[in-house]
Amino acid sequence: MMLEVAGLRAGYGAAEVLHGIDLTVAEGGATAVLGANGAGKTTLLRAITGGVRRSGRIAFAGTDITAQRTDQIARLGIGHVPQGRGTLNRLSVRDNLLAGALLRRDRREVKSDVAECLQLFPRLGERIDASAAALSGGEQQMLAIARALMSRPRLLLLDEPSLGLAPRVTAEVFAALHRLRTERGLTLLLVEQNARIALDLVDDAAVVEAGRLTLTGPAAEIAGDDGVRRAYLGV
Amino acid sequence: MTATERAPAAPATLSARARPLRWVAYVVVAVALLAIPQFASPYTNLQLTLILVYGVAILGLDVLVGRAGQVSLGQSAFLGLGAYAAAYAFGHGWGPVAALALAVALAGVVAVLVAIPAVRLRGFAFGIITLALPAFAVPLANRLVDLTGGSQGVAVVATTAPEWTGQADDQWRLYLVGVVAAVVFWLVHNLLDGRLGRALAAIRVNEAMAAANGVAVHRNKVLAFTVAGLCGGVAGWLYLIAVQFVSPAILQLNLAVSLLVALVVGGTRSLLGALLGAAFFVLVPNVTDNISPGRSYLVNGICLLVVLFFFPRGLAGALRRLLTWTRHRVAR
Amino acid sequence: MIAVQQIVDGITAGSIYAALALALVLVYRSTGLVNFAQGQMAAVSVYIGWSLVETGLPVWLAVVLTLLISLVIGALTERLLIRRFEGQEPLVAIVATVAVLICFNGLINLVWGGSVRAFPSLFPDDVVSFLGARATWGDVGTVAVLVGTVVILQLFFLRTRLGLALRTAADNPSSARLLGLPVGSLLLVGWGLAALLGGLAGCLVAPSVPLQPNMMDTILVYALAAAVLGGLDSPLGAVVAAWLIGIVETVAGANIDVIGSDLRIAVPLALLALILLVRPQGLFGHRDVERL
Repeated sequence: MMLEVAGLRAGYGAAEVLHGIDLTVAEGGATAVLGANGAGKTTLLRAITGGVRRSGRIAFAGTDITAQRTDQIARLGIGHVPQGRGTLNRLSVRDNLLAGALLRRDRREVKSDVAECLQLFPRLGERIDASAAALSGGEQQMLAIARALMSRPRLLLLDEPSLGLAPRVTAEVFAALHRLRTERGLTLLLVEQNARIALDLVDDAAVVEAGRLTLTGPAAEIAGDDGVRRAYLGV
Repeated sequence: MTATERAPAAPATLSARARPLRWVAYVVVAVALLAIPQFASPYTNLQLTLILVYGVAILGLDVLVGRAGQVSLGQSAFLGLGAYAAAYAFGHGWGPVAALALAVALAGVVAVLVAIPAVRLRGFAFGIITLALPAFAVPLANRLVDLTGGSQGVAVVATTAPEWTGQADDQWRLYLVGVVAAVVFWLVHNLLDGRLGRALAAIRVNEAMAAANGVAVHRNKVLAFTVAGLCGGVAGWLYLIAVQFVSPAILQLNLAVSLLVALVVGGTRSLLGALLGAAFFVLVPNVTDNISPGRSYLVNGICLLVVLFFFPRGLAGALRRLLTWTRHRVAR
Repeated sequence: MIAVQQIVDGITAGSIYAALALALVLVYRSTGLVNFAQGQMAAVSVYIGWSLVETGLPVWLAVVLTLLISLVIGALTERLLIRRFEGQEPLVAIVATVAVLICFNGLINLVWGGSVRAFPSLFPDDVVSFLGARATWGDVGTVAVLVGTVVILQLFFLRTRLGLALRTAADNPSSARLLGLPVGSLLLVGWGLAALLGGLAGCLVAPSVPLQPNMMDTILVYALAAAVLGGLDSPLGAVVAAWLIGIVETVAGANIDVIGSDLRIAVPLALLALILLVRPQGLFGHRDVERL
């Protein structure tokens, strides 16, 4: 297993947000966690990369990372595209990408990876010298994903990549994620409110409600669940 | 202290039984406070008077810095302005009330005039601009020799104990300063209890959000700055009564910074904190001087770091936590 | 008439303010904090430099060693004292830097005593003249060292991996952590570099003033004004603002009789007030888009 989460409890200060989560992501697989605002989606990702108080067990590629610091976890090979994108707004697009590769030693390959990212998101290439603050929301999302890719992660965590984007731009972002899955076999853990487009991308899915997983299974099965169809697919 | 700062209410039965007890405690404390000047040495009485003087200045600073979140390095200028105004008034035979009126009026006018342009700035820019107040005030006081006595300062006899009280001057001054300080604390507490307090809290947390929620940001910041200046003016008048002397040293940036430090050490957004901070400011240098005269500055700085390290919410915050803790222990 | 001489003098003075202002900007960019102890730390550097010179080291070697020691002192200050206050209420952190200021001032009194000492010149005492103005090699050297420092700093931040890492951590610490950067260590580097720059400012000014524990206090006020005027997060802005302040101060001090020596320190603050009222974000600062 690439990622194994067992009995995860997490929260901020005295408030517990997650009350015992069990979740696995297989190598090369993709899992989506669906849920409403405030259900604990962002907290789940933050707990995995050490951004909030947490207990239970989180293992990445067999290594227990429950007690590790955020930067150590990142160096093990987990890329995290945070909520709100977390772009480096005073830095140029190019510097944002290079910042993603700061911990790599293979300089020549970094160069070719930049080229690859620009091929994946051609819009970034057009704005390579602009500051990240000047980008549109969609471009910032693409930049955040590309920056995470620059570290060559073995597992990529994505926090609501569709948030605040127009449907056409969302489609563009998810098309790129499809390519990453099929062409590179990248392992993904995605949290989303937009269930339809998320379920289209992943193999497995789970539904989080009030800090607990209420449903887990293959994406197709989840998409067919009556409750999910009513609550998240608007059918 | 205040109603809002009281620890979470105890169970109803307990508090009903505790209420008369609490009043008894208040009376005992009040009597003890009133009795202290009768038994303390003139030196101790002067120290206590100075704590109250600086307490009022720090209280005003707290309105601007603690409540409104606007760091100011100019409070010493208002303290000095009040003291010089009082010195002028007393020196020209005015009564104490007229002297207070002049000190407060001058400080208030200057505060408003400075505040109106300054509040447009945010964060550190605001703080650095307020630094200009002592930078201008010190040379000004040195130059206006006729009014201020120049670098020598002015000594005046502000008030002496009236015959009928049977008190020594130091005791009389402590009582007088204590009464005025109590009134200022009570006024500021009431002022912050209502809309102004809520508006300043909103501004402190997020100015843009406050504005979006209909808080008049600039007007309330000017108001906070003015309250700080008025308190500084009163504190200046109190200072003159306590010390009977004023020189440009009171205007210096060093004092403004010390008052800011004292505010944080005592604890922001707390009436008690202003007094504790003033006590730290007045007493710690004496203590460190006694411990090791040559190193008092270093020891003072270390004391400061220790307080900040272990009580980042100030002495008042630490005290509050101690009270809650003991109450829990007792309840158990 | 504004003589070329006054402008030259202003730029020399401004270069010293600029070096300290750069230190302030560096700390502000990496920790979002104005370090009120920056001047006092620079004074410590000067005293260390003086001691090194006293041991018989050549002045330039002593200065280089001083800068390296300053780097270590700055890094240690961040790690041991300031780290505790990061992420807390900024007011508490600022007051903590004031506490550090008081401690370092006390430390100088303890180690070196309060007596006045003199620091040797870094440059020959000869005078050069151009355009009718006269400058000592000390003046020329001060400006040259400052310009060189700015160029090196720009190259360091824009062309090196460590520079990019520092910019990343300063721009968005939580994103930097997610990218695997050890943000704490980067803050330490930022404080170390700032202390080095402060030490440089101290060594540049030291030959022309008496050494005293509070020798940098006035310069700190000028540097604060320059840093804020430059927009606080812009190194180039701080340098330009510092030069502007140096020139205005010298010209005003020499031509307006009312100012005299005691009101000179108020000149940069008045200039700052005037400019900020028109441009609240400073000369080169970004206008922060405040989000609700």
